[in-house]
Amino acid sequence: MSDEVLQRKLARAETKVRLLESLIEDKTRELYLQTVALKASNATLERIFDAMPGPVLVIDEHLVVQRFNRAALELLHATPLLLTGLPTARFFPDVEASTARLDAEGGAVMTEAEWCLEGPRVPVLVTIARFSDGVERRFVVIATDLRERKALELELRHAQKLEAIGALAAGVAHEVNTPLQFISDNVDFLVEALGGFDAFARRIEEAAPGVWRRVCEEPAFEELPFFRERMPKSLGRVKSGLLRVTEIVRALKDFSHPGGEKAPVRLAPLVHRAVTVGRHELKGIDVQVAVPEGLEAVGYESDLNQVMLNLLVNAAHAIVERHVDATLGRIRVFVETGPGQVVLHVQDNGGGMPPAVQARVFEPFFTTKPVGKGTGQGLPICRKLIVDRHGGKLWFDTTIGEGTTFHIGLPLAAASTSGESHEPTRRVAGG
Amino acid sequence: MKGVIFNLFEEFIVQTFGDEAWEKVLDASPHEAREVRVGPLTYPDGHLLHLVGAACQISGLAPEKAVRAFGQFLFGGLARKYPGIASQFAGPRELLRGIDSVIHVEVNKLLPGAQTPRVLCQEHDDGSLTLTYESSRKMCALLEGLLDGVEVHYGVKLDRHHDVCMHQGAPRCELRLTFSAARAAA
Repeated sequence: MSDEVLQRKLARAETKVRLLESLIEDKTRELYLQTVALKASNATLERIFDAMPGPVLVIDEHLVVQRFNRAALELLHATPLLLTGLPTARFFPDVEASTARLDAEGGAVMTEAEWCLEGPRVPVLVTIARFSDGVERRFVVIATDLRERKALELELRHAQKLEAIGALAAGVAHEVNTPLQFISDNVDFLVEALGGFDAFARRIEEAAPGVWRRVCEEPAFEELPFFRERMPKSLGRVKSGLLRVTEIVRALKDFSHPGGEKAPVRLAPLVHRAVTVGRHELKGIDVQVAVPEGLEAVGYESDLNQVMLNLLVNAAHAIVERHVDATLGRIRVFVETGPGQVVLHVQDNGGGMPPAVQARVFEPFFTTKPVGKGTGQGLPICRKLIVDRHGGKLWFDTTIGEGTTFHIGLPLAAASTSGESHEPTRRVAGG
Repeated sequence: MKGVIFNLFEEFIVQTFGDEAWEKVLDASPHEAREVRVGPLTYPDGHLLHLVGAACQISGLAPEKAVRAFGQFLFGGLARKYPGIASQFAGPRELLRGIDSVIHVEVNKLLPGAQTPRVLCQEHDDGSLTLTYESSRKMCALLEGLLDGVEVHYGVKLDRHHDVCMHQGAPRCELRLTFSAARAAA
């Protein structure tokens, strides 16, 4: 190779090196800018991922959690440290079966499950799909919290059950009412007839002294004086029992009335009705009702019936839990009125609620009652009815060892009067 | 055309005809065709045609023959430079099948903006193949040379029938290929 050719080759090689250096610099700059843009894009995607309201997790082929968003942490009550690298089966036992189904069916699979790690069991609808990031295949797991839906379903079932019971109670009340009426009429007739018989006996004694006594000494009539003395008392007790049954039947009928429009509701009868209907639960407890007769709140009567009965029954349970002997229990129902508002107070001398219970008392499904006695739906439904349906308020004060007072704040009806109540204390007899 | 093709052309001329020959090719080419090129950048196709034209003048080779010879050299050069691409294929048949779907995809990853031709492969029941070549460059001679390179690389013999050609007014070239049985098994 000649020197000239060598020189030319060398010159071209140097140019090539400069070109390549310049190219490397350009590419390095481009790479830097692309890395910055990629980081920004990643950060945006991360923020979107984290801002998604539903829990989203990414798990690998071995079903181990790789990524998750904030909603997933919140649902599982977990920390990032705990969730990273955790086998999914720890909180989602059916994950293996679900991914196997996904392998068989393709696309995405949906399944209902209950997830639980550190917090409560949460019903969820899980959607699982496969994806590949170019390196390995993974699963994306999206959960929808079903707690609210389940609560609504339960609430609906509860409402349907109440409606059915209400219809049954109304039917029974109607059927019982007619025989009750003629029994009552006949008892009235017997009382009247007995009065006539007693007057007749007195007249005989006056007209023919000694005759009545001699007749009564005959063996066939020797029990007449006893009958004469005891029958009025006996019929009086029958009459009293009938009045009680009549009152219960009327209360049941009124209580189960479906109601319709929002209208002024008389509070005193409402409370008395709830006491009557809840008689069995309130048995032995001293129930004091101080609600003025003319006082009316605006609301749905059937809803308010349900709330009042619920609060009374809860109070009775708290009392029995604390005292065992119900006769030591006392429930006071009283009212306060303010401008445009009436507050009904239901106060018991049960054991009160510790802070942990106070915090969760309106939470659906939360109950401190033994299995079979409470569904954990009573107070959440009360709150829903008062707050959501009536725009009212429901709150409580409680002191451990002293008892609890629930307060229902409702709009006062325009024509309402608030005279003092002189209701006597009632100790509820057994039903 | 990517710089890597220009540089392999330079290598081809130097190896075939010597260093002085390449200097002569440059001297015989227009000024713009003489520039120094680096592999990843793209340069006008016309520059390569100038260089090929000059090389033919100097070597006395017919252009089509020169391009075909360069094609054979190009296959070996590319296989050497990018061993990861050719090694993906079990044999020549697989390689020809994967020209568009694998090789050109990989080339575009390595050299963004590479204007690769469209080369489709159709297999027939008798074991033969039809390659369909479509490119505005109409460099079917280069494809023939590349096929020569395939023969050398895999030690096979490809009988070719290039009856449909863009240079004869067809919209695309069609090359019917038959593997010679004894050598195809190699």
